[in-house]
Parts: sequence; C-alpha cells; structure tokens
Amino acid sequence: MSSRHVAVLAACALTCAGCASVVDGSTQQITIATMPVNGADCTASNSRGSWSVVSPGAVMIDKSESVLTIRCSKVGWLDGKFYASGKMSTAGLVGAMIPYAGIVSSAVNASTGAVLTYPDSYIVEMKPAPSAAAGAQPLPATPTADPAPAKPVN
Amino acid sequence: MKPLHVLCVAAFAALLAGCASSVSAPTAVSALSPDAKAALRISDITADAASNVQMSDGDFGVVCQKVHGYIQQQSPSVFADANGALKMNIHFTKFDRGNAFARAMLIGLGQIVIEADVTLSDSSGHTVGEYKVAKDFALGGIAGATTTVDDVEDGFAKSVAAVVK
Repeated sequence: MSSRHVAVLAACALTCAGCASVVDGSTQQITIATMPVNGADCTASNSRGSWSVVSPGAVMIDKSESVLTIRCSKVGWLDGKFYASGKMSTAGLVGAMIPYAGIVSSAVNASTGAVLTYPDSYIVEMKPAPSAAAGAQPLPATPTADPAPAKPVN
Repeated sequence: MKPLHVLCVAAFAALLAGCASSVSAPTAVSALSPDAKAALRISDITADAASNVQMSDGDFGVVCQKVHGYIQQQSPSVFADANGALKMNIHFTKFDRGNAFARAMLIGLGQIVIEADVTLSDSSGHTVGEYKVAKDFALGGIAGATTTVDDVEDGFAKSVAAVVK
C-alpha cells in the first residue's frame, strides 16, 4: 500500500469518524404525552442525566446507550412509567460499516452516545389512584396545540 | 458489484439480523398444568437478578414492559387483578451485553447472552410454574456489529411470553 493510499484512507477515516456524532449529534428532542390526563410532571432519565417536562411537552435529552426511563406523576393518579432502549441510528450504521473508519467512528459514537437514537415520542398511560377513582372523576385530557416548554434539571 | 448482488447481501444481512429477535422455546422445570394454563391470570410482572449480574432498574423495566406487551398481544385477557391471579418473576442469571466490535471482527466473539429463571407464583408465594429461558446472539460481521442488546431482549421477551401461550 503506497503512502498515497494510506493518506487517502486516513483522510477518509477522519472524515467519517463519528458519523453519527456529526450527523445526528449527541442530543435528541423527545416529546412526552400522558393519557388520559395532561399536566403531569414527567422526568426522563438515563445514565447522562435527567430532564423534566410537563406533559404534553418536548425536552432535549442527552443520548446514551443506557435505557431511557420516563416517570410521570400527578396528584390523584398513579405514577406512569415507560422504558425505552436506543436503536442504532442510520448514521451510526453507516459509520460502522465503513472499513477502517468504522473502528474510529464506532469509538467516537459510543463515547458520545450518538450511535443510538431513542424513539422521538412517548405516550405514558396513567391510571387513577384508587381513592381518586372512588371519589371525584378525573379531568379528561385536553388537546394542547403548543407543548409546554421543557425544563431541564441539569 | 451488480445491483442484484447488493440486494442479495442486504437480504442476507436482514435475515441474519432477524435471528436476534427469534423465539427460543422456554424449558419447563416445573410446567403449568394444562388446566392451570387455561385459567391463567397474571396480576404483575417483576424482575430481579442474581448478585453477580449487573443490570439497572431501567434494564428490568424495559424487559418487563416488552414481556407485558407480547403477552398482551397474544392473550389480552391474561392480565387481571382477579383472585387467584399469579405473579410472574423473571430472575436473571446471566445478562451479557457482549461487544459489537468483537462481534464484527469474528463470529462467536462478543456474544450477547441473556438467561433467566421465570417463575409463576400465587398470592401466598407458592411457585406453581417454573421455566428457564435463554437467548443469545453470536453472529459476526455487519449483522453482529449492528445488533444491539435491545434486539436480543425482544427475542427473550417473546420467549418469556411463550411460557403462558
């Protein structure tokens, strides 16, 4: 292999390194809604931190290879939970498939969590608390055109 | 490379990737009787792990959620808080995420392995059914590199759901 080939490969590797990190980034916006009630305090958390939002709402989270846990709570209702694993992103897949560069790419993507992408939207089911179910009827869900602003915790 | 060759390679890769989520039959240690199976009701699914197995609450949650989903899909009437409903517990004895890079390099390396004991117990804690469920993934190359533990958890959850089929 000539030095020119090596230089071309190295350039290619540098260009493609961390494809997913460059294309998809290490953060992701997710939307959380709760059914059948709105206005629940929801927290999304993974190994990189936790972020809170009032449902329905959108929040920017850091991607990670760990499971994303979403917990929603509201007075008079039992806590709702949802768990999501990341799926390999298209850019991460492309990066992993490129010989030589794939090794660098995978290492960069894994370190930033960019190789995996969580689903974009979640609907967390909530059930009335036993005392609330026996007493007052919970308010029905009201459609909201403009999602509540996200409130990052950290 | 002709387009036909590319299609063949893509189809083969997709076929191999499907192995991760395929169902492996659960092994009965103490099988439910046909009568008990016919009248089976489950009130809750929980998970825990042996002391040497490293899993987070999120890992337990995602597996329980998948199992719940697959059971609900195959027998919607199984979940009930009725008297006599059983509790399902998944006790993980092995949970190895493997290594994608090692799998890409050579088939057999960096395997993903999930093994668990699944028990069904009544309200008094008496075990009425026990099964062993195991799922692994050892393919190499592109299929190995692009398969995640989530794909194997899918197959594992389907296998656990097969316990109540």
